[in-house]
Amino acid sequence: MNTQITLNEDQQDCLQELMNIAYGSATAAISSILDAFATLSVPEISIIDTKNLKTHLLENIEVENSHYISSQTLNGKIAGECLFVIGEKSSQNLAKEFGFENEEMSQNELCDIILEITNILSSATISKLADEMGTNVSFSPPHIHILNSIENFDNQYLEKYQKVIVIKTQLNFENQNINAELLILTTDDSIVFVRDMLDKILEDF
Amino acid sequence: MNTKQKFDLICDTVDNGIILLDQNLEVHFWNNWLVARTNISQEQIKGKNLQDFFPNINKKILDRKIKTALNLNSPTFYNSDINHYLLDIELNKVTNKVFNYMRQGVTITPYDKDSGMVIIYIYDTTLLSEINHKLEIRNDTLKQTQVTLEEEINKIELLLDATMDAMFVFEQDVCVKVNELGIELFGFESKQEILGKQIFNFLKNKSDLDLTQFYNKPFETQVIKKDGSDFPALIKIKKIVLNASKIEIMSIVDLSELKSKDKLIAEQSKLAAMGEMIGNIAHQWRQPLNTISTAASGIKLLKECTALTDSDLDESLEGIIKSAKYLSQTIDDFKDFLKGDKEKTKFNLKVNIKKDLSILKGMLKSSHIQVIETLDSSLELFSYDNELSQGIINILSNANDAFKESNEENKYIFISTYIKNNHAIIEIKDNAGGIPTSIISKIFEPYFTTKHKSLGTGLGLYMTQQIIKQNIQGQITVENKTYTYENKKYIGANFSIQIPL
Repeated sequence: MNTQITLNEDQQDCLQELMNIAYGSATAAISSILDAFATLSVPEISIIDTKNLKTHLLENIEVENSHYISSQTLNGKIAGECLFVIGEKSSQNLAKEFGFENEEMSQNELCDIILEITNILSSATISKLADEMGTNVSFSPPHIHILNSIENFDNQYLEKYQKVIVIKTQLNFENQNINAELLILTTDDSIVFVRDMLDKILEDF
Repeated sequence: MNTKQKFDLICDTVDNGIILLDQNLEVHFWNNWLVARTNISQEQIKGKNLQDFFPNINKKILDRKIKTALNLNSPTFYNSDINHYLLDIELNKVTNKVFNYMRQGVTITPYDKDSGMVIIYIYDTTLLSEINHKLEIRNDTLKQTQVTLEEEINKIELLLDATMDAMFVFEQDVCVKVNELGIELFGFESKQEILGKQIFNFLKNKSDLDLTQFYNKPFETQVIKKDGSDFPALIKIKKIVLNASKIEIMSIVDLSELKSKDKLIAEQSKLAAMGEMIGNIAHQWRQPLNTISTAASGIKLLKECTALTDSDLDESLEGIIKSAKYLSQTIDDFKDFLKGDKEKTKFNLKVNIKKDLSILKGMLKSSHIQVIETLDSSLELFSYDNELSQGIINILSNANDAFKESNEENKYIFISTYIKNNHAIIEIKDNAGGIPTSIISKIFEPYFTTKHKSLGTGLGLYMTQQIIKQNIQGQITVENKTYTYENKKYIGANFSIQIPL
């Protein structure tokens, strides 16, 4: 197994293309479920050292002081974790899309919605990506943390991995000011698998 | 076993609930796990609306999750932490019950998109939730304890900084804490410079000292500052054992100021003693000066009358010379006394006391005090002659002052010396009525005086004690005594000086 965990330019382009397709299907799914026109920004892909993840999150996620992080474990050939990060205000706006008014919404209902959207986004994108790569992904139920800062992010197991692929996108709804980030963090083995699959796709192309 | 039988067996033995449901919430399948826990049979619920049996279901959320699952062609979930449960199933548990209803993790998986059917898997997560719940409670308690602990630590740090002592805490012989005063006193700039040092780094010439001997007992020593200079300090080290590690708390009081104050007191006291001496000299000089004056006037008068004989002149001059010699002797006595001793000498105690009494002769005479001596003439001491005199004279002057306040007609001072337990004992007792019990414990303190300001400095007895204790290496005590002398009962102060032989 090649332990050099990087993607060359071609591989990165190919992954970008696949992610665009996957995000397109996720957008469609969200729009259909919520009966609202949602857009996902073109995903930005980067491979970073795990030890820099926290700094990366701090620098790249524009969130208000208090924010929600929900995470969903991915199992299968493409294994890892989906992180959905959303600020307090955006999450309330998101809840409106789900038909809640501010006053009738409890913290738990808000969390439920965030979990739901995490599930929708990760399922739609990863399923599509896995499909393109001829594999399946099994999703574990998502969990949520309420963090007052990313500094509190528990990263004691991060050392297990060398690199993570960070796929960052922004979720926007028509008429609603919702900013959130979806990050897909994959494990070393998965990066190798993804790279091999990308090579295969590039060959077929 | 056919496929249907296999399917039924699996569905009825699996340890979670399985429901086949359509978008209208009509139940198509209901496994044994659910039958056993809800007491609703497959026959009762099949073909019915789930909400008829569970009216508390939040339809909006369930509808959404089913719709999402079908749309995404991927499962959606209920999180037991957030949604708690989908079906309100009362728990059959009797003991240690935390929740009334079963906590559930739920997965909704698309079954058939066209007919809008989903499979709902229900997992019993009560146990996990209970543990989480208990953990949360414990966590809250821990947080509270932590807050309290932090407050306590802050308080201790405040206390450490508020105290007048420099404080050091050593854990396993290494400094782990120091207060502001400690940093300042030793001339350091920051805590970091001190942390990690050992007790011996602060003590001068004490690296081989057995500290265990000094635990809990204050001791005086020289301590070293950062720049290498040293100063006198009073140190107390307290040892405690915490979690099997040795902790020593050292408090340090700077004695430099106190020491210089001691010096000042000694100087003041010397000046006061000189003042008293001048008074005594005046007393003693009056008589011989009178004699000289009278003799000289006599000669002058006789000469004017031309009646001065040679024998008159010789006699008068003899008297003048004798008196002048006496004056000179007095000055020598006082000079010796004020000079203090540089070296220990061997001297006779009786001779010393006699000399002291001769210095005070004038004072005692004018106060009409009778001195009764019981002196051991063989008692020899190897000590500081003049310093002892100074002490005895102070006690005698004090007795003289005490009589000014008493109405006693017959004024006595008893001086006796004897040997007891290898100590020379000097007892000086008066009959001036004794010292009031409220102040008897304070009379050796500096600046303590019962006299009018013009009379006393309050240093006499303090200095006497300092001389006896530090220079002579003896002890001085005082008590009131009731006794009989010549069939009369008297009360008076009894000073006792004990000098080791």
